[in-house]
Amino acid sequence: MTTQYNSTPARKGAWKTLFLMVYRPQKKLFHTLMAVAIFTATIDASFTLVTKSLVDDIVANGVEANLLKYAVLFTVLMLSIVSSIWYFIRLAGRLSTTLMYTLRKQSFEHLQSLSFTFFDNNAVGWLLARITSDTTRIANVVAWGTLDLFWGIPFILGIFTVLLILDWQLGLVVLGLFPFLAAVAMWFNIRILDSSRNLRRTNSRITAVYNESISGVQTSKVLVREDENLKEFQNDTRKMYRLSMHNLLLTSAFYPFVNVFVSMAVGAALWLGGVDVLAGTLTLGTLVAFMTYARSLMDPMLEVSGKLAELQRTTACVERVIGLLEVQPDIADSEQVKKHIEQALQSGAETLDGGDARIDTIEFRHVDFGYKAEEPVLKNFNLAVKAGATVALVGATGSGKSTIVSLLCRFYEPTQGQILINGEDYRGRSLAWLQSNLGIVLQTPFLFTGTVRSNIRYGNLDATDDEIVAAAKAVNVHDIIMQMERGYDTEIQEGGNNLSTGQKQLISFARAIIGNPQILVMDEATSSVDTQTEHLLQQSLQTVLQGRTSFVIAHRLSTIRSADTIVVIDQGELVEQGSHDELLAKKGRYFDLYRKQFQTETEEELLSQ
Amino acid sequence: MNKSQHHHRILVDLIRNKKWYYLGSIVAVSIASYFMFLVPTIGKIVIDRVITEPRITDEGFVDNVIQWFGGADSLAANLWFAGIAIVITTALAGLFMYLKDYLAATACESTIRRLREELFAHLHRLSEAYLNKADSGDLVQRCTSDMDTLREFLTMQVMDMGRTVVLMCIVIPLMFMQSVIMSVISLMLVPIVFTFAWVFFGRIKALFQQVDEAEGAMTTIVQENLTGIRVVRAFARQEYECKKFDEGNRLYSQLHYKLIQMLSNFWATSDLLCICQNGIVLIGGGYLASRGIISMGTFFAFIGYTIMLIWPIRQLGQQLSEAGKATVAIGRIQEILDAPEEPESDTAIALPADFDGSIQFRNVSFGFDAHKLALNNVSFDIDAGETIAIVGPTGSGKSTLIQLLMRLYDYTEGSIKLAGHELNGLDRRSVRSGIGSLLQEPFLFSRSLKDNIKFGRFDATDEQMVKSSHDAAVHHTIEAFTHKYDTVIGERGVSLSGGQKQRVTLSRTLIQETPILVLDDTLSAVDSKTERQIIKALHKKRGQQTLIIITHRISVCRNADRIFVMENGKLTAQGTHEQLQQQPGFYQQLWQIQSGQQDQFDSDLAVTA
Repeated sequence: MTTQYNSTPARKGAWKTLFLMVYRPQKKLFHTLMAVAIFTATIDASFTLVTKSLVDDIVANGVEANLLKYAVLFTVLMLSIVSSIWYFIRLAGRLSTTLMYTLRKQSFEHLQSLSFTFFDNNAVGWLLARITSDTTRIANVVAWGTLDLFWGIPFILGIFTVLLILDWQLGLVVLGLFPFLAAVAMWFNIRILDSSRNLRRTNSRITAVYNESISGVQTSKVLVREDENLKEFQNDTRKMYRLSMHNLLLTSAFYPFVNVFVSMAVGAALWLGGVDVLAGTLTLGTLVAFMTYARSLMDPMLEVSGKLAELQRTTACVERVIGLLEVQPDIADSEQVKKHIEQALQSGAETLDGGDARIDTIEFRHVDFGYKAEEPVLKNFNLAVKAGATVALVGATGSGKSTIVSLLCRFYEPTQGQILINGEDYRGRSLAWLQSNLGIVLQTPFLFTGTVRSNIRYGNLDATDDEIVAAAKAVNVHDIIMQMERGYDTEIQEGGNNLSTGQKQLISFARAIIGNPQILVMDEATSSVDTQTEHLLQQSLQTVLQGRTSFVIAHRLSTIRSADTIVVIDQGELVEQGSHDELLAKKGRYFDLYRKQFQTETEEELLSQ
Repeated sequence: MNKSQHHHRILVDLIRNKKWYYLGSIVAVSIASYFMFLVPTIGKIVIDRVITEPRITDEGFVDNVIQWFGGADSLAANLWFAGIAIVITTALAGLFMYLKDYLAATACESTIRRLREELFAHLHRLSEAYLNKADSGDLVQRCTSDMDTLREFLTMQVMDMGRTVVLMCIVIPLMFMQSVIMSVISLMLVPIVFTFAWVFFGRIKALFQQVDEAEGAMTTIVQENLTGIRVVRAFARQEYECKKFDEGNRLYSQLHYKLIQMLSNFWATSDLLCICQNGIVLIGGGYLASRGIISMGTFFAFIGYTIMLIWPIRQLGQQLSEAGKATVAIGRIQEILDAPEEPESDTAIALPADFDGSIQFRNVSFGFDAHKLALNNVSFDIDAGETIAIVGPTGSGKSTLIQLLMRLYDYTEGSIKLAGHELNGLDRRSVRSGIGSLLQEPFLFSRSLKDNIKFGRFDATDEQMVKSSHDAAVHHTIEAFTHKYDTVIGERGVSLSGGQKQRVTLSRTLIQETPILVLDDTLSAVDSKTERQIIKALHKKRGQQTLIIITHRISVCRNADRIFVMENGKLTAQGTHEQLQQQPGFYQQLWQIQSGQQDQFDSDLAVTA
């Protein structure tokens, strides 16, 4: 189960925003749908009139009655209603599909512009639910709700109009029962929706328990906790049982309840209408029509009240989605930079924003940073790097190494101080320019589903197949790929589960270098892989780093040793800086770190013999 | 293989348990159907025998009822009787329908609840070999979404289908009793409607699946984009991602719309058939009524019967063809239930309460697969209260030793004895209660620290908890959290570092106060100072508790009474630290690295310099 933490505020009054957002572009579709719905309602209301006339005709004329007329009339009504049903399902379907598509597209694209702070504070599961289930729900409620309301309400009105015209006294009696019916239907609908929501929540709780129990089954076994676990689980299943029964019984009581109200209308029609028929003031046909109409109130009633309840309960979804769409990115190109981009586009400059293409120097100047204001991570950090140099960042976990790299990539921006590229604050350059000059290798390599080839190509979308092979060869992964069943066309499963960590690392190396980035950022894996792959990785690393400005969060000795500059970080501060030999000679912090790592690696070697 | 019979075994068992509920619900729905049938019939009686001239009289049962009310004239004067009768009959039909739902829901929901609990208990008894091989994601899927499919099938589809079938069985004969020819006319298209629905939903199954798959693919794109956001940004691939998502989104939308189009064809066609059936009744019945072959009342009643039957039957066709999904789900659940549980012999005896903690291994060999032995002819004795350290390279069989001792796997060769009792003859759970063990991967449950620590001994007092946490050197860490021992950890709460997790799991094990304590490389993420503190605390019980520590730290080995060296599944050396450090071999090398590393390190320095 994914956590649901989030920092996105729900937006009040979101329905109106949503309505304007979806209604304007789809005006025509909405209007056609409404028109067809109203047309359908009119025909629905006319059917019973045919029955009425037929009955009256038979009572009055017996064998002489002309049934053919009614057959034709009925057929015409039937064909028009069936074709309008066919048409409105398609219309509403098209509307819901379009809305779903657009809302999803907008929210996905919006997410692409948001900064890392946002993703730190909003769980993947939470965001995923907004983009997938919320948008679906909203689109369905809007499209099918429009249909049902524009069909149901005119239908109900139509029935009442006909009833009042046929016999106003009888009509008023049926009309009088209507508010009760509406209240009962609304009451049930809201409760059923809430109870379904509770049920879903408990159900996901059960899923979470299963999930955890399966991962922790060995722990439970050795602690002999099986019986206790089952007892606890039984609490959940008991709750699920209770809620489920509640939901089922509520649903099953709903229909009979409404039905009794409807039967009151039918009964009243039979009683009062029957008296009139006996007195000769009402035809039998009208009586039949009355009873049929009273009964046919039921469907539109149920649909309308159901949709109203759903609309009300979808408000939270709408507020969340609109809230999400209104979040502003903290890191974006400034107005100035946007202007540069426009100019560069017109003048056909070499770079996206018209600035320098080459990166000659990178400098951190008095940089302060903290993810939270009260917890500083970096304090007055200074570092200058020349093009082509390899910088190894070393230090304990939590010392701020990853933060330095994240700032360099402009995933976050310094709270104080500046990061300069060629002497210019990098906030003066476009984000896209900087990031397209970056190559990155994460500690836990992330691969996308797709083929090995498409994953390498991710680093350079224009790369030819030959270039992909060349990149793979450069990092020593070509042979490994060729040994896979389908070579470069091997499908990578979700999370890359069908590859070993070492293989994933090598592929992500190839991906990083194929775009020939000017800056390479790498977070070296801490845990060693098998000796064979480890060896390959070390070799490849040299190729990867060569001639490129590189920032490596380094753990392995060979990587650290080969760096041009080693930077030792402790609690967000730079404590030592220099080459391997210089720092060793100092016998300071680096000396200790190095000795410890040396011991670890020799030990690893012995342990994995 | 007789697979289908096999598939339904659990279901048949569970249904048999609740057979009275199912029978009761069939009786209830039969009564309800009869009342439903009565509603239009009352209308018919009133029309034929009270309000139209000439009144029909036939000295039958109905006439007698009318006579009992004081004759047709008196009834005509008190027509409200008929109105009330309609309301009461509807209410009774509703009441019995509710009773049926209550009985059926109780039966279905308890069936599901029992099945859930049985699965849960079964998961805890599965053999280690099966659990290791099984994909845990798939297991969870089967326990949750397949269970949901089954639940939905039982509570919605089976209940509905049963209702429709019973309704048909009751109402159709009653219709024939009234008028054979009208019945034939009213039911003419019913088989076609049913077949059409059944065939249609059978045929678009593939499309439904395609839509599901497209939705899954689209969700994967979003999920990967969100989890791999660093890679996306690092390569500045936002546009590419948007394009990729757009393709997924579009494909899903297209298929979704295609499905709606297919459904619109279905609804329109089946509506046409259903309305046509109503039309046939109207015109055909009108023809018969105009000729006096049937009464006006019968005509009226059959219009009602047709409506009552035709819509549920259309539904029945759809439900029947969708039942296949549930069959698949049942099969997948049954497969888990059929997986082997840890065998438990009837003659197993409990580990005696005064178990002293002595262990004897004699020529024990064991392999996870036939080709390779994980343990090869291992023999040793551990006296009660001894402290043993086990060292050796990765994969040398250290952990296997513990797994056998805990009876997670059963040895096939040789003999293991606890205080003189053959291990295989001892009850698994009593063995596990007698040995406190910490597995390599610390696993904590997402609940409070208190609940986690007391997980192994839920009746422990808070004093015992604090004491064990002190011994595990985690008490002060816990006290530093805002909610102290009530701090919730895991996905919904605070996340602990590797070392903290290890210490909490240690506290959880220590609280059990077992005669044997086994630590499987459990303190690897704990710094050496804390480790010393923990070992010191553990040694307070020295002599009273057998302690087995798998480690690669010489400092830990030094304090042990004896050290076992494992290599390639064999016990290659044993003795005290002083003895082993003299012998050339694995232990000596390890000792050299960790204590005499100065020489090697210095020589390495010389090389680099």
